[in-house]
Amino acid sequence: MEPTPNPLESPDQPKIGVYICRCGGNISDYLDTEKLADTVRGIPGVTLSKVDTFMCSDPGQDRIVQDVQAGLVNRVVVASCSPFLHEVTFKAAVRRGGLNPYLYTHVNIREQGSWAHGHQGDAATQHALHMIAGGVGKVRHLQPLDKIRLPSHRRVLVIGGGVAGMKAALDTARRGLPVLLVEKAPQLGGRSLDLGRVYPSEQEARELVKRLEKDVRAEEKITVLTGSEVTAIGGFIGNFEATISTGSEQRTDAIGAVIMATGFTPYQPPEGEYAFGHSQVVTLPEFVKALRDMPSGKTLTWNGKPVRSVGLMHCVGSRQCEGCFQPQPDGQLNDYCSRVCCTSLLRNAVELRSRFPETQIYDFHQDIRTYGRGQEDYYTCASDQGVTFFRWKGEEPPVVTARDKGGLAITVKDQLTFGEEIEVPVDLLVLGVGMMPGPIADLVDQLKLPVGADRFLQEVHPKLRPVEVAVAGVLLAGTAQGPMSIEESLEGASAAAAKASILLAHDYTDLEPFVALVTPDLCVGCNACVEECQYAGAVTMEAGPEGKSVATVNPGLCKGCGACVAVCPTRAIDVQGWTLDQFDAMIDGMTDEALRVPATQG
Amino acid sequence: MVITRVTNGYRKPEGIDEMATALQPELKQDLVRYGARGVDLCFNCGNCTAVCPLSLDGTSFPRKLVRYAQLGLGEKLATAPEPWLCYYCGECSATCPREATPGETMAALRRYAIAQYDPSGIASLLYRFPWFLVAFTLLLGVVLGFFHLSIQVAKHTVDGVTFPAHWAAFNWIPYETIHMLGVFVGALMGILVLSGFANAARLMLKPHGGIRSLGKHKAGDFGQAFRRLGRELVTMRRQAECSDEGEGAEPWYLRARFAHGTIMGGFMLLLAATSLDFFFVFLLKMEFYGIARPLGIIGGIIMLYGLLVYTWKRMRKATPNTTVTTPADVWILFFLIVLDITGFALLLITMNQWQGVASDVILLVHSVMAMELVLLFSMTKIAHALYRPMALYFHFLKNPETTA
Repeated sequence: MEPTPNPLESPDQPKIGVYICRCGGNISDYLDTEKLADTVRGIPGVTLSKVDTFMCSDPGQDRIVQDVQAGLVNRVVVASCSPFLHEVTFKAAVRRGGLNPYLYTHVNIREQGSWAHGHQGDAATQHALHMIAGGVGKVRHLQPLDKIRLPSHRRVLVIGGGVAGMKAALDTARRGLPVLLVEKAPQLGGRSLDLGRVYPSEQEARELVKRLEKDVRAEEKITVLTGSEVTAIGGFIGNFEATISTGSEQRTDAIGAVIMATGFTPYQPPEGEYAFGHSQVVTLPEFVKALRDMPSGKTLTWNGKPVRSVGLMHCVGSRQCEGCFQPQPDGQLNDYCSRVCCTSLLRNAVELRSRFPETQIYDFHQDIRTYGRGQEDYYTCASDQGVTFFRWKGEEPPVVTARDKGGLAITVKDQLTFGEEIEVPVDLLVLGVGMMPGPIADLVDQLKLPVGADRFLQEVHPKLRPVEVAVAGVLLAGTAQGPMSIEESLEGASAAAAKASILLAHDYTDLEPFVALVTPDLCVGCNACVEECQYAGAVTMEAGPEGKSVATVNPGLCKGCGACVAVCPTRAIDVQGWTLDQFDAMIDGMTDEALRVPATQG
Repeated sequence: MVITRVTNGYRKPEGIDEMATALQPELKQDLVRYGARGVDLCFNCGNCTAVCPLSLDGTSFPRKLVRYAQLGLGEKLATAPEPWLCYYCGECSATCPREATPGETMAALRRYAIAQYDPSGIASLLYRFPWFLVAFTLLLGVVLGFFHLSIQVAKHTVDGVTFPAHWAAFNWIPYETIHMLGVFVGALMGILVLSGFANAARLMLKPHGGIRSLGKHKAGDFGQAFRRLGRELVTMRRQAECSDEGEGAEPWYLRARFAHGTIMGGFMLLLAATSLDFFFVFLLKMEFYGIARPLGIIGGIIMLYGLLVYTWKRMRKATPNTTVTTPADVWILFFLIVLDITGFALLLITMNQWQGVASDVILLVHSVMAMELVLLFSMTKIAHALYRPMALYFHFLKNPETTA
């Protein structure tokens, strides 16, 4: 995309248009927008200022388009709401007028103005004026920019061959992109292979896996590598390079995007936690697998012993209270909810009751979180089938003891019985263990992936960008992101596949131009920027003219954080769109004592 | 690996001691036989307690009791006074989102409580097994009838009417033996009632620390609680809180409180009539019926009215508290109605000096059924007349500030 030459874009002849939004009263009820417009007009370079009730409306946007087209302005400032809401809107309007969209500055006088200081009258208007003046200062120094266009490898790497990985691979391949599906185990399917029937569809999990695998194997754009691991990975969006080891063999592949479908590990209780280690205490995944392969009968048997009653313990390794449980190696407890254990426990309670009608069930929970579609039915059904529920407070987990006469006793301060202590005899205790992230420390390290407080991979925004991470080109599918059901894992996988397909829709990728740029003449080759940079390869020392070393930026890897700018002794490096000159001008505008809003009369 | 006393492996939570109440899974099945069929449906939301107009001032039911029943905590149930503080308006059952019929559970727990108070163990069989109720009633009737028929009756005069010698079906048992047996049966009934009463008091005081806990009260408290109990028994003010009293309810003469009042009042009048009879005729040997007879007639009529209202409501299943009718409910209504009607029949027989087999059969039926009722008094539904005032008394004693 060659920059379009535009004589009006010369920084020497700025014609700045300032548009102030009333936001239907959200701003103008507290700030004097008309006075702001009048005062702003006096700032050098401002050729016009206007007020509109809704700048984001079509007529509001058209003001900008028309003024730009008429040649009245060549720089635009809109003072309105948060840039998160409408920066994109007004940039697009600027472009529609025929101007480079980066010649635009957004000033937030609503969240940072009227809403925060609405009761402060003239002082609030004065504050808004200084913010606008800062924006005017910055816009005066803006340069036209273009998005950075990088060539892409149109190929997706999916790490993990469980249900999420298979679904992500399938959806991506069906959009025409070649996929490399890497699975550590000798077969596809992941943890679902150990499950029985699964909620809410009550399908056999292995059937689901079989169907998915059949489709995956039939898809010629998918290369399946089982018994394989990604041993090294690096690069940036469109240009990743992954080393994959299969046994002693190694291969290196160029990849455009990576989908992390690395799954979870079930929480492993330390010995003694809820009597774990006792022969009649079992974790839910083990129990589910055993139950699946067991013949039905009147009474359940476990380790050859008849089981008249089963205890189901919720929140094992989830929602742990401070001081009640052994922390993880990082010193932290699992304070998050694992989300699937409640419904899974209740589903299995229902199965137990129908397959072993003479086995009683006691359920011990903090809360019952059957949050999803069709899940509450399991609670209702379990309740109808005579499952007895006990509720404990997070800071008072039940105590499990081995009884002299055999079996276990669970002592619970039951909130459903007014906090009274009840001792419940059980012959088998099933621990509803939660989810922990899989062992992917190397990948996290190599790709610089953000990890949340729960140690799972963290998305940019749970609602607005739910499967993207801060590293462009890396997407999340399934439980690598956090505890979720098969249903949700598949939804996430489809979303990740869609995002990957968008990222690699062309053989190039456009990135925002806000990356570091070096002025080679000023660079002294001190290497300070390289040392400061957190993103490997983003800035490097390369041989320049006359044999001197010059800092060079790889725009694909640079995140535009500006750390290098701060350490450069010669102002040789700057982040485009946020240069030091622009900051200086912004501060000058914000601190201009001469700029005053006339006081309100009376 | 043997784990002796663990725990969640890291830290033993404070406050867990050895006094935890053990769950009794078997008891739940038994409670179903008493009529607590809905307990498993309860998900402990507490709507029942929230709407209950009587769950006030230091008491909390029905959910608490439903929960105890759900867990089969027998001791907690046997010692709970709450079943007796409930008048079964049925508001809780109507409100219950799970249709777990908490009101019916409370009724079942009253039966369970009566069975726990009863030292003979018969009450427990009567309530749990309908076949036993029928068989035992018939057997008892046959035995009582047998003794009745064994009495060699000479020509005698009752209420001014002279009867010829009759019904000496089996005159081979000496009169003394039969008389002694009669005394023995009377004494047995006395023992049953008294020990049931004592048991109930012992159990109901248990949660408060037993009989000794009474020592903590000031002398005046006992009198005050007694006065409040008296007022309550006369006015049944607590029952007035029940929902069938409000707007949109049935007319006053069909409401539970009025119908109950007529039965209770009728019962009292009949008791008064019998006492007067005993006083004038038996002690003073006076043939004076001028007060007793009118009292008896009025008592019989108003009691019959109440009984018929109750029966009619149960047949219509109009209100939540009449939708479920247990064999024990049928039993008591049947006994009281038959006794009431045969009582009137006997009055007519005496006044008109009718004689014949029919008169004798009516007399036999009335006498046998009356004796059965007296004998089983502390085991049947009417035992609430003993236990409800007791529970209310302790309630007033333990909650002196209440106004309810």
